[in-house]
Amino acid sequence: MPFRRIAFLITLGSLYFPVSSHAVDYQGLEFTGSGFMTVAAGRVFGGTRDAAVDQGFHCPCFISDYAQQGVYQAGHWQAGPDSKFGLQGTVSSADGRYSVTGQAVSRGAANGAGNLEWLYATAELSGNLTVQLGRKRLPLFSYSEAQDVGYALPWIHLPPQLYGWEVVNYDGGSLVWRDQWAQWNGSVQVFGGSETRRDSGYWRIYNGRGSRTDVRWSDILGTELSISRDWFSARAVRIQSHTQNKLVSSGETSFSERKRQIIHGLSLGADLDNWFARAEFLYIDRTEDYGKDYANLLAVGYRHGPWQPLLSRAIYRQRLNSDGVPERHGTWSAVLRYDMTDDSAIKAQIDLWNDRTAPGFGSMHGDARQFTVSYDRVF
Amino acid sequence: MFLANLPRRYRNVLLRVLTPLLLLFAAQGAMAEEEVVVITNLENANVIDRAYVVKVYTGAVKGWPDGSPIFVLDYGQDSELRKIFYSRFIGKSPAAMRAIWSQNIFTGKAMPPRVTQEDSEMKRIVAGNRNAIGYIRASQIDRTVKVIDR
Repeated sequence: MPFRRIAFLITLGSLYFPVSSHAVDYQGLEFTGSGFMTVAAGRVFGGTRDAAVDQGFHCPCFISDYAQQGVYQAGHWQAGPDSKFGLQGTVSSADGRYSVTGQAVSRGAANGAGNLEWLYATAELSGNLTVQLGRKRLPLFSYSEAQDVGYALPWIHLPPQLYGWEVVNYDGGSLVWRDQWAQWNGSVQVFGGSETRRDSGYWRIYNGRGSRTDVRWSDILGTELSISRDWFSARAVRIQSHTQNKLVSSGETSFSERKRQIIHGLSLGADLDNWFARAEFLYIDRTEDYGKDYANLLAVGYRHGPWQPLLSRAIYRQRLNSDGVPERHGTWSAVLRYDMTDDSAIKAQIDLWNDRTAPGFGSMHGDARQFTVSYDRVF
Repeated sequence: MFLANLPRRYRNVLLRVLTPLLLLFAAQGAMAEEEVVVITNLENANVIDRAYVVKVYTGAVKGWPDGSPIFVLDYGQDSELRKIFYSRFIGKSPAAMRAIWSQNIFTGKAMPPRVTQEDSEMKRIVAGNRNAIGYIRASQIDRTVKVIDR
């Protein structure tokens, strides 16, 4: 049973962490442990398919997470694509200024296999300046860094039109400056590094379920600017890097030629009384490779006691250098969240994926109607 | 007088129902009157307002206005004092605070506040660390710490 490992880890985690707050002091150092889990089940209940380009998946299919190859396939309930279990441990100095943090995540989408997602050292050089070195999440999107923590998100799976890319982590360093100007809070983050992803889940969706593609992003250099005041928040990010691929399953032994990409992101948030709204825009310039990508997201939610309904619309479209068939699709999502306790919630989500890609597109595509339920918990 | 005029059977029933309710209201009243104050080290010259305290306890700021890092102290999740503090000072429910700190902790944005056990331990740590901030019952104030918000 492919889900056995993650079920075992969830059970183990529940035994070790029956209550919240886990900190131990030892010789001036503080050791803290925490974790999160999502147990989700979903089913595709309609859609279209083109058997010639199913890429080994049993479609109609709903892609819930490109980066981790989270794909719901037609015909039966599945628990793998969105279920995950994460453990995080931190060792910090007595004054909290220096720490080392590691986070491992076991995913149903990877048949329960665990992966080290974060491992970094932090130094609070002053009240304004923070340096982090190690392995971190790449802040491509507004919710990128929290993407695995279902309890912290209003969706079960983030809209895949925006939140799906071939690389989500990087090895390197970041420098964050935080400050305040009158009523405004702001931060500037500069980061850099590289990432090599072996057997990319993203590329299995495009190149075939049984394929293997390695991806390398080198010379990553990014800047993120965030500001907030009262009910308003905004974030802008620019990341540049070189990209390379290697289709290992086709016998390629070396990476392709380095090609430059520039990623631009802008997100706006409003949080007023019980209402909240998010808007996010993404533009990726990969002209040196195949063309340009555009994606955007609009979401509106309402908090009513423990209930939190949300409606969102996400769109992705591609512009190619060549005369090929560009990829275009969008998803409407309706989510209802209910906070069961201070650290657990259940959610139900309906997604309607509409494919606007023209016939002739050489990979998996088609419409999909998806229903998913989940239980999220942090500890 | 009202009870005295009632038949004995109804009077007993009323007393059985009202007595626990009155005790409950009295207990809630006592909790509601518990005054909480925010404290820092005597040598700390920074002046901050309520909005700044909110930012500190939600992880939005990590430093004092003079640029020195803040060492944030808190009580465990089951602490009644903690519930009063977050309700009155921060204006957030325990669930909302959990969601905020889940984002902070699991995304590397901020370390959770250091958890202490009692007012006395909180005072001891604040008294010994110039950058510390914490909160205690007003009845526990003494000369070892400075009140910056109440």
